[in-house]
Amino acid sequence: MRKRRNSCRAFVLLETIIVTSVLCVILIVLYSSYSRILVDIGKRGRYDNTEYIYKTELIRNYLENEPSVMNKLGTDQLIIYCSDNLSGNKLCSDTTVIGNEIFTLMKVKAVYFTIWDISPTNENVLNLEPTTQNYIKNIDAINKGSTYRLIVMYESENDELSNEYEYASLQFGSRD
Amino acid sequence: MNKKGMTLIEIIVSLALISIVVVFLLNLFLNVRNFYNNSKIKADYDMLVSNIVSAVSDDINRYGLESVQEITSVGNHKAYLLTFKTYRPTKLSKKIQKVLEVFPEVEDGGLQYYISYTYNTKYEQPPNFYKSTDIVSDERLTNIKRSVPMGALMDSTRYIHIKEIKDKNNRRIVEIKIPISNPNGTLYDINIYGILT
Repeated sequence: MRKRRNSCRAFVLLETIIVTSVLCVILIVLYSSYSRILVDIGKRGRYDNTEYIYKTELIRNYLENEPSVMNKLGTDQLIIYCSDNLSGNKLCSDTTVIGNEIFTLMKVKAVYFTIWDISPTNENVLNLEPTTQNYIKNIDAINKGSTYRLIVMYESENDELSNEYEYASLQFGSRD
Repeated sequence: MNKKGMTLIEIIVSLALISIVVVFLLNLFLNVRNFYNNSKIKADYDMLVSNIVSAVSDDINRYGLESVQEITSVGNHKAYLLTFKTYRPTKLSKKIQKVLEVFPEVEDGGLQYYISYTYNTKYEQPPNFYKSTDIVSDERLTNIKRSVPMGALMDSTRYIHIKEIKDKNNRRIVEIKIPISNPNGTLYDINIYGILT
């Protein structure tokens, strides 16, 4: 009579630990990626929203009709037109700044002119506020030759308690 | 010896490890659920703001804004008549005029607000307003009426706020604001700007 072999149906402890550890590592990696996506979505939700694009278009149309503004554009990669956040620059609400009335009405914090495909590692960009640097990092610049980009930084109209800002940018100057 | 089953220590350790995984999963699930709920609400409001801002701003950019004038609608609500510089292609003697209005309607779920931006077929008060037969079908197609998400809070004393400023060159810039907030207090104001020429 053959003895029936003992069949090992259960897991040993070591196998259970190894499997669970592998699962935990996978979940941790997934969770951290998911968290990063959530943060990215939160940041990008403040870039180039419809309302702010239209505001920027009005500012662009206004400034493009001012010869003194057009004359400021030369070969510089970045020009700070006005900024409420950076010292050493004119405030956007300053009465000597062309367009200050519109800037005050629209709660504009800063206006920049950059070359169209400004690099986020440009040394002038690295002196800007971190939020502006993040925005420039997220710009998708298709090559448009030697045109300028108008970047406007707004105080969030609908979230005055936080320090988050809204951004929008448009081509400035000659367009194809 | 009977080798079936698990020892107590094995069970305890397994349960401890499984509970760590379950805590992670639960946290993830709750985050996803909250994110979905908040995103849905935000998307509804963002869509409304985007629609209205686009519709009005596109007309301002295309036709040039001449004036913004307060009127009273047929429903006795305050509305604003936007007159543009461009003449209507079908009636060359009349300038394009559209009415921006916010009004409430009582519905099953409660008070429902609507924002409409239309050729003003409803207002038959001479001399500025069109009779309903005056508007051609192409013009009617550009009328929009959007419902504000249920439960939204609006300024019932004055749904639309108008502010006008002048710059150094005496150019007039107008701000059209419709204050809206969700029940949690988050603001979703509609802000439209135009230069009056």
